[in-house]
Amino acid sequence: MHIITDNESNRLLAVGVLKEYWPNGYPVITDEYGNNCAYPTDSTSVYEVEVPEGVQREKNCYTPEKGFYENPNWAEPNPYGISDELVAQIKNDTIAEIEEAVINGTDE
Amino acid sequence: MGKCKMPIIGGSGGTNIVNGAIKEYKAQSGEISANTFVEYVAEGITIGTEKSNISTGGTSYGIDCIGVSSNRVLMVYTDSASNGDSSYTSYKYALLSLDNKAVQVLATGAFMDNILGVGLQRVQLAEIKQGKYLVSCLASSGDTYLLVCSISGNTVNFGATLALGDCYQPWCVPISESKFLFSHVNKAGYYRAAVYSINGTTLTTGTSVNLCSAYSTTLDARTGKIGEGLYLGLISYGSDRYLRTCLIRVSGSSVSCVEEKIMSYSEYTGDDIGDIHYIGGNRALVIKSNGYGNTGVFIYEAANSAVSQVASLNLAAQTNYEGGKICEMADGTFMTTITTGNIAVHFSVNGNTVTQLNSVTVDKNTTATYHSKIAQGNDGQFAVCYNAATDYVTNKKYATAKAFQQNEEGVKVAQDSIFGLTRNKLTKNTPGKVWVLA
Repeated sequence: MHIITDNESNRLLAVGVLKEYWPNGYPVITDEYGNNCAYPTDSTSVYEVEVPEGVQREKNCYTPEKGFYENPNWAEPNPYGISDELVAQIKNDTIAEIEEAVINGTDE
Repeated sequence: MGKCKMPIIGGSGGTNIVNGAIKEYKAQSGEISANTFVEYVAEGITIGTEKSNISTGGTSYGIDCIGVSSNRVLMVYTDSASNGDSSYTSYKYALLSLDNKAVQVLATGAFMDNILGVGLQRVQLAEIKQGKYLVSCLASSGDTYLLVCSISGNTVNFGATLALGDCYQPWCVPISESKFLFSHVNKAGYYRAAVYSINGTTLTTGTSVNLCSAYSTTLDARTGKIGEGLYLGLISYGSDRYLRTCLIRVSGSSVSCVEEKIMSYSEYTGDDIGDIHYIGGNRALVIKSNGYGNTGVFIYEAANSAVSQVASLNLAAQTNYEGGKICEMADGTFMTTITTGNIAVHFSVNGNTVTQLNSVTVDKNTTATYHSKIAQGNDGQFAVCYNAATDYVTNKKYATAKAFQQNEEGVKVAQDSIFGLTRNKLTKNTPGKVWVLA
């Protein structure tokens, strides 16, 4: 398998099969869903490695020295199928309603 | 024009003479030969039919469309991912036909599937040349995907995707068939741009440069052409949401900021920046917020290394969530959409005067048309592509395309009523004489 990592954070951007190189030298990776995606060579790196089970793009990082490790900045996507911004807005609105109810002495 | 006496053949075989008039009209479309019964077409917008539920019902919002030939429109949109996981998004396309004010789906499919993240993804279509388009897709993770799409007949092909990290507010502005200006905002808050190259479906990145001061929160950014080698950047930062402008010069592969300034110190004037549409003469039209809860169209002009706002018109006392798109019609007038108002607005520009001509409700069944965009067809037809929120419980949005026709005053071959009789040939561009009852 081939993997693509971000040079700055080492996070895993892609896991898949190396399909080809574009004429500009960018590697094109075919992922498990059949998406063909190229990555700029000035900001990413390509490696051919054995990928352990459970390793996921974004969730894991990789360097040749450290191997695969958990992305310290990884956050599970919210389970509601809506944007994080909307989740935050709903939370904030709910908190505001509770605060108002407490101030006004209502028990609803 | 003039008065005449028209012979009317009575039911008993007799002939009555009534007052008539000869007036000049253009054909609504094509040409109409002499001695043809015609009906009157008033100036305005006629509502056609729609194609709803083109998507399977994703929780996402991104949608865009572009006219690709006289009666074809390409739409791209975000939708549910095929892996069934609501944390993922699929990016899809639909090739639409616009005939007789009706939308048909000619081809559809996914060009990227199961991309991690949901939410306010943005998709953008930009024409490189007829039949070849740039597609830009922002995932909610801050990754941007760029790819080339080509259309031949009813076949739509996509090249491999170029993935870019730390790339918020992406926007593509084609410069030539082999180059485009790519702007974005990075996590540090810098508005940046570079000249990227296109070779077939191969895309090569350029070296991005910071064009403006960094701000901690960037709400929106758009880039568009405003002159030869000159581009206009519009940026909304932070809590004030003032409108910042950046006049950009592009020479070869070099990109630089000529002028950066706060264009408006009025709150919320930087909200919901939709489209920058070049109209020649170092001028561009912009659709964006005109202060809180308002949407306006603006004329910006670049002169002496500075950009200024030379005219504006408030189109509606409504917000335009994620902005709209400006579509230039064949007669030189313009059409745009306003999402919260759920309307398409027709306007004209004459010098520094912007005039609203008319407007039409896009969808009676929904209060807002999420991320509605607009594309031109032929014979005054246009399509509005939007996400209709028909299921508020699950928060699903269904990509929908609806046909409209902008009518100039004229006549068409009689179908429902008889207004008059053509005396000679008339076409869409050349008026002819029509006998009508006085």
